[in-house]
Amino acid sequence: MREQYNMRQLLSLGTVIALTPALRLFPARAAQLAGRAGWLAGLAALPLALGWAWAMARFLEAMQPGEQLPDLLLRLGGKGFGRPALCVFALWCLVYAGFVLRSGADRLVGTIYPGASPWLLSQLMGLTALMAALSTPRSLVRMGRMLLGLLLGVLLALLTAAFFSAAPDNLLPVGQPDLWPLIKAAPIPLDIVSGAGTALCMLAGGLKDRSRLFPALGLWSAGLCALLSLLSAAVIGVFGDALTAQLARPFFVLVRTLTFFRTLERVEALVVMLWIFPDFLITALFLWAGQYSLRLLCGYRPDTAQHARLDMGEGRFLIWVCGAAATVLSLFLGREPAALERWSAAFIPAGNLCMVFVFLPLVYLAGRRQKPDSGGTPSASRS
Amino acid sequence: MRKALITLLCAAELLLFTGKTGLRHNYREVEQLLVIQTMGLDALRGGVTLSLAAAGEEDRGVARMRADGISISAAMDRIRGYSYEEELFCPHIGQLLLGEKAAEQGIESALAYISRSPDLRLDMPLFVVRGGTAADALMNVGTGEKGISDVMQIVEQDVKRRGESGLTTAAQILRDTARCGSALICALNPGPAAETLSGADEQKEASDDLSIAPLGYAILREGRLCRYLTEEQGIAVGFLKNRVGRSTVQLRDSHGNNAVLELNGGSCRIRPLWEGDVLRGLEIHADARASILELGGRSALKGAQDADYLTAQLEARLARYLSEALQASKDLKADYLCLAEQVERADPKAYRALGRDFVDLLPELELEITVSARLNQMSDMM
Repeated sequence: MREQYNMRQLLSLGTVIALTPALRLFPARAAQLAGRAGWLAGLAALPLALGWAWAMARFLEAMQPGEQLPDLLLRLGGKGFGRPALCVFALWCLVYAGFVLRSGADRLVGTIYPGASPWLLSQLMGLTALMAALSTPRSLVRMGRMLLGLLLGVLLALLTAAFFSAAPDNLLPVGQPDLWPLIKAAPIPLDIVSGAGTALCMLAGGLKDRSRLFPALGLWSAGLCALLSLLSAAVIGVFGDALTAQLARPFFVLVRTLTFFRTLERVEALVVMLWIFPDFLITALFLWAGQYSLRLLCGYRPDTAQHARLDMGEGRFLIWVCGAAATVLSLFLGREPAALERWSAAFIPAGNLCMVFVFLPLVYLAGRRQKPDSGGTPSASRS
Repeated sequence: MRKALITLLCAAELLLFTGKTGLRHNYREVEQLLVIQTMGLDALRGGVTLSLAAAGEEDRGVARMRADGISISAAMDRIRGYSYEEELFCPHIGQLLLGEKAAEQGIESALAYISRSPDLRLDMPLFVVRGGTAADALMNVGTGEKGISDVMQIVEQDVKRRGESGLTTAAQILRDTARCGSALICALNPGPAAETLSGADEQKEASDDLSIAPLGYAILREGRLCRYLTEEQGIAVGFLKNRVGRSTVQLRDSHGNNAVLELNGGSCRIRPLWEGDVLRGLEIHADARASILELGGRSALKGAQDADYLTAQLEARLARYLSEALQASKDLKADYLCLAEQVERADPKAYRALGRDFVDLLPELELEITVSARLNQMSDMM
């Protein structure tokens, strides 16, 4: 199989998709748990994030040429554990994709389409993500690379403008008593970094060079932790921790209050629209991983080559099934605001952390316990 | 062909998604919109009175509306329903005026409405109308093409000139209330307009038109108006928040004549005084810079003694203002200046070990206030 992209491109995609949970979860939850010190939660999570990067790099070392993450899970899981593990992974991918569709639609409704139904927005985004999932992973990675400059540029411009209205009193002093609250808040940035990082590792099979995974993932994690700290410093600096903790989407409320050069204001609609791109990429990525896993489970031999979108060979109809399932799921998931909040603040982060820190290590350990000749999964024999 | 089709589909979807500028079911031409710039809220038995005002226009004057309702949303619906206007556009509301009674009853509902509304901004400044209602201010302030919105723009500039802490935004009030239990809100005083109406054959010294001007602050304790601060105490607030703007101080010189000084800079240092682990008091030292604007009938100071006398007078006056502003905080047990933050910043460890709420300690705190002022030359005369 032809190698498709380099680490830099893949990490760009990771940064873009991290922006969705970063703005959904971070500033408000960090302020709730760590108060004024919430802006340091990103940095507090850094050691754990580096630990994740090291473990993930070790995990991916087991990946053989031509394999994708689902192939690896199936092979490491072996005969007894491989198929259930892949089934859990596929289900998780679909649930996550459905949740991103739902929460993205909710953000649009809450910020610029008040009173509108989220259903239409979920379906449109689901359809667009399905089109991307029908394509190759390479196109997703390239799109992530192209969007990174735009999104980071806008984000940094907004943060710079926000820092002009920030008050140091809202951020300082921070002392030893803030240490325990900071430790309690650290899982939130860890969830964002490790979740996005694990998602991008779903495409690690297409990397040209996998020799220096830990330095690359470690540096990326450190950069993302710093970005998260910067983001929450801007929000908490402007609103203070008490008000930030009460806001559902503090970053977008912040954007609504910004005025550029005393003339340009109310740019929130534009910014909210830009955040459709991370939603789209993360949904497409999880749809891609979900369909790949399902096709493996059903005994097909999925590949990463370009196919006609309407080609239904090798179980490609399952891509459409996955797209439809995620979209339908998004219509029924968290229909009440309180339920959606529970999904956003509890179920999804907890599920994400379980997948990254429980499920993957279990699969890895299962792989380590296998005898060398007990593999023989379809993917292992395919390459 | 297929690529072109997909591109077209994506473009169509983006157009649908483009919010306020895109194709939407509630799309309106800008000519159809009445851009509301000022909002007023008053208390009503079992509800609120909502007032709205747009900026003045040449051909149609100022559009002003008011309605009662059991809630802000109900009153807004009533205005929309009974208005002659096709569409009221609220995202550019720049100020919220609160009637005195509404502020006394509590502004939580107004703040909650601002926080939840996708149209309103949290950095919108809030004002309380001293001794009056917001509806009266919105309906009556201004003349001809100038309405309350135009006057409020001038008010905002005026308040900013007096010091950056002057404009109290919804976010700031929410933050200070959550953090310190109390907050400041800018107060407005309605009064006759100073304009002289000139016509071909008549001139009036003062018109019957109403205007509105900033006049100090009001203290909100737990979201309820509990006391006004005078304009002079407002100067002290500028010092205590380390945001000193331009304001004038009336004094007497050594010959008993009027002297007007303009404060044009300064700073303040607040230091907690500890006795072991007990917070005994606060040491407040203010530095002020001022220039002479008027000097009762004379053009220049007669010597260094004159300057020293004026400086001493200014120091004494500022010390009095500072003392009054801080005394109000002690009397009301309302930390509207967020002094707790200053104490915490000076010694976080000792602050956390206080054992009592700072607000409970406030009335017992000793205040040591010192002011050092200097006159600087801002004109050609000494």
